[in-house]
Amino acid sequence: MTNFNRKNYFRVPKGYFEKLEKRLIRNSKSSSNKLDFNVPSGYFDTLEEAVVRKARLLTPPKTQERKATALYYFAGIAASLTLVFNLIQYQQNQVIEIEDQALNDYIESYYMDNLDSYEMLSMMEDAEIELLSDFSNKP
Amino acid sequence: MSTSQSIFVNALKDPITKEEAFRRLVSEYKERLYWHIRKLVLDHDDANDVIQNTFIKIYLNIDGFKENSALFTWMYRIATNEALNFINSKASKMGLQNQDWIEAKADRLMADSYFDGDEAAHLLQKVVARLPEKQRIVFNMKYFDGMTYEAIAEIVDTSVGALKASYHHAVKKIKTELNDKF
Repeated sequence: MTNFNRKNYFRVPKGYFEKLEKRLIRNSKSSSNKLDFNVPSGYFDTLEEAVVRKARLLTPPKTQERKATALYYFAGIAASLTLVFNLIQYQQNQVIEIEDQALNDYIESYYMDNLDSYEMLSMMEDAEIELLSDFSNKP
Repeated sequence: MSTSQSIFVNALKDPITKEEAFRRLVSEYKERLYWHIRKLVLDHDDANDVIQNTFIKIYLNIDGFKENSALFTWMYRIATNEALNFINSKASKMGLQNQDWIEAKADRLMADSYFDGDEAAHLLQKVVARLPEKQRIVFNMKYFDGMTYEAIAEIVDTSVGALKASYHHAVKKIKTELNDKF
């Protein structure tokens, strides 16, 4: 029988078969992984969003936002102080004297007439409401 | 460590660029870390829980990453620890040893709609599940992921020599078990 392989005129690059083997094994491994285990369709897209959303919840407000917020606080406090100071100055210049009790009566009667019970309750402390309900439960 | 990695890590640590850099990190590594975790916990839903916890841990601890290792190695280590903690927690809740829990998971793989392997693939997974924990991790990284011993050594914090011994013990056990089956 003729031996066709006796003389081989073809050559391959040095180390070709070693590299080929490694490449084939690597490819078969990666393809077998994907064949054996699967994930729901579009899973990796939703995963990315889910993870970033969770991380965002754990992030404290950005430093710049914090700085800006602090600036607003200080500006607010400064404005309030200026207003109070001006009011005091203004009041000192007034000669009109109003009796405290008369003023309180006026405010109370004006506002109480126009407030419903929910609005009144919203202005009261928990303890006061509790006390009120104690009275109303008594025969 | 490489300059490009340092730039990226700095972006992850900077509050201004953190979110955008983190999004890129998740996009880049989600699949590789997922498959690593999936091979350890076997079930998709469990892998989903672990991968999310892993990324949140990475996000919360990035400021403490000193770049003594590659970023990916560090993340792989977190993923491995998270997967092992997850198994530990699940097993203890059921009053089982970790090994028993993972073997039970492997036994039920054919009923898992996200497992497409044939009988031979299932058998291999069952045999791998019977390996001691460390051997199982090393076998997965070396055989399925094709990682180098040096890279695995960094992740599991063991010498290359010890890893090689571990891998070869694992291969021997798997061969013996598979030969007994056929």
